[in-house]
Amino acid sequence: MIEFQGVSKTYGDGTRAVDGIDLEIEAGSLTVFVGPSGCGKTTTMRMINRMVEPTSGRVLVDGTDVRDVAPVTLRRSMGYVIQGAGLFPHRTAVDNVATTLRLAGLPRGEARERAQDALRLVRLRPELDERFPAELSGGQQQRVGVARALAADPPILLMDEPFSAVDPVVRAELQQELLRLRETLSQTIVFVTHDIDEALLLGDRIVVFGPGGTIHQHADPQTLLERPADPFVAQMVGRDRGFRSLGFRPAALEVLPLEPAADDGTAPVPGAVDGWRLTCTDDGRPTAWVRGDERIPAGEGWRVGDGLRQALDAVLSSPTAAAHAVDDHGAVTGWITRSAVLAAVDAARDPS
Amino acid sequence: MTASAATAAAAGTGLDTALILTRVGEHLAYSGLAVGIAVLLAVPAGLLIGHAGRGAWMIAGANALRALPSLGLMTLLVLLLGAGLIPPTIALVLLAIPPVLSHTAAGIATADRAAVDAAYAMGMTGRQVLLQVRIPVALPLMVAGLRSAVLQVVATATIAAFVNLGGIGRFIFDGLAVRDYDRVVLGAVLVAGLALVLDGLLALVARATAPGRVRGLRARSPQGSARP
Repeated sequence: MIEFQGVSKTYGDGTRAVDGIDLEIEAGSLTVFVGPSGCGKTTTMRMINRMVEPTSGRVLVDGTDVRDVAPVTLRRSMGYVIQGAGLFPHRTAVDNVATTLRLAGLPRGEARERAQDALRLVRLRPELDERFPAELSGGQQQRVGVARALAADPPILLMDEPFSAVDPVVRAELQQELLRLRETLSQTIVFVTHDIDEALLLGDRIVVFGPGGTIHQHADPQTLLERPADPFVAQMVGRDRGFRSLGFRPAALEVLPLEPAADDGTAPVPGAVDGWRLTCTDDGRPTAWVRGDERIPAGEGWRVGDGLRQALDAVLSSPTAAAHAVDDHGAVTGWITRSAVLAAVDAARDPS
Repeated sequence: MTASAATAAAAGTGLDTALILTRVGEHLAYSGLAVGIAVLLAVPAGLLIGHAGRGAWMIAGANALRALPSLGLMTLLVLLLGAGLIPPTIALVLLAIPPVLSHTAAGIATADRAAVDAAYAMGMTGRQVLLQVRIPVALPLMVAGLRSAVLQVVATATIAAFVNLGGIGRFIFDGLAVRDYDRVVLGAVLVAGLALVLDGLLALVARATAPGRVRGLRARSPQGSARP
């Protein structure tokens, strides 16, 4: 657990970057610091590994004041990923990753071997191992940066806007990669971003920072969307917060069974009176809605286990009164009806 | 081209190749001594200025010394210290220090900030950051400073002949004394040729030290075994 107790940071010219923060970060959580630029979120994070020293207050890691630990020792126990990766330009990808392991005292050969394992973990292709950073794309560099932070298996991972220097497509890929890594790793992760969507996607816990280095709200994503603490947070989470909050509601929907496909390979929609049918590929993936000459590309549908937001989107995207439910491989397994989804939304939003 | 020009000029003066080689050797020795001393003084100072951010006044001081004319300075030193190797060496060292010092300090101070920040954040000590990150990243710029120093020193080392030492300057000063202009041209061509050759060699060194740009050299060795 990481604790901030009355932590402030004031610079020599009187600028107050962080103003009396009290905060507890649970062990094993992915906590996102989000806020506009210049609100002290990076400064706050850098106090955890003493890259910045607080002017007043204490920072505790598992009950130990970080000031009682030598900076070098403290930093070696934490992974750190910075914006644009900050790779060493004169070292290959694998040697960049091996650096943290060499600092931990591993001999060269073993460090390189484990560095390669770390690069496989972040899914960098092996043929890129011996390339220099200048020969890698932004996304690949960032993967190497994450591998370098993870290689020594530190209990805490600090990530400072790690994905903001890459294009949106690659960013989405890296975000999914982080979520996937979270399934196998147990690190406490502190993640700084100015992008509220990224915060809502990745965080178990979100800390909203405001101008002047103050904390406006510390909550899970659903609470943040449904009950913003003040107008600043409400504005920060944006316009569709009601709709987006449904994404954090589990959708316990009844999946109606498929009926045998007709001779033309289309499946009829149960209860539909308007004649829409769904065509699928041979391995069961949805392709299009058809009715007579009309043909509408079928979306991904609702993946069983996804939240209410995805379910609502699926039934609203469908031309008829039901949407297809799919399994993890994208194959159609059954149907959900619009009325069932709307009833579930109704139940979820009922004040209790 | 310079070689054939030198041969043509040498033919007109009746000098033999052995003497020319001796003079070139002497010239290289004076230059090497001066550049060597300058590197020993200026590189550590530049590392200190760039890494610790202290002592920037040294750069200003060294640059101010650059304004002294080398020949005049050497003559003054001869008057103070007597003839010998020391006066021209001091004059040449003072010429070589500013480029080495300022390039080293600038290269170390401005080395890839993100990489330096990452290096500290992963728990490197200041010494490790300097040796493992700042120096390798700054190396091309440091070599550029060395190139600049070598060019100036090789071109100026002719002054050693002014105080009765050897070097290519002998041809120039002796030629002027006896109005043997072929010999003067030979000296000038030799100096220019030597400077160009050394500059070319150092340009290759600079390329080899560029971080992450040594693919061509590495490609010939088995993957992963060639380490800079």
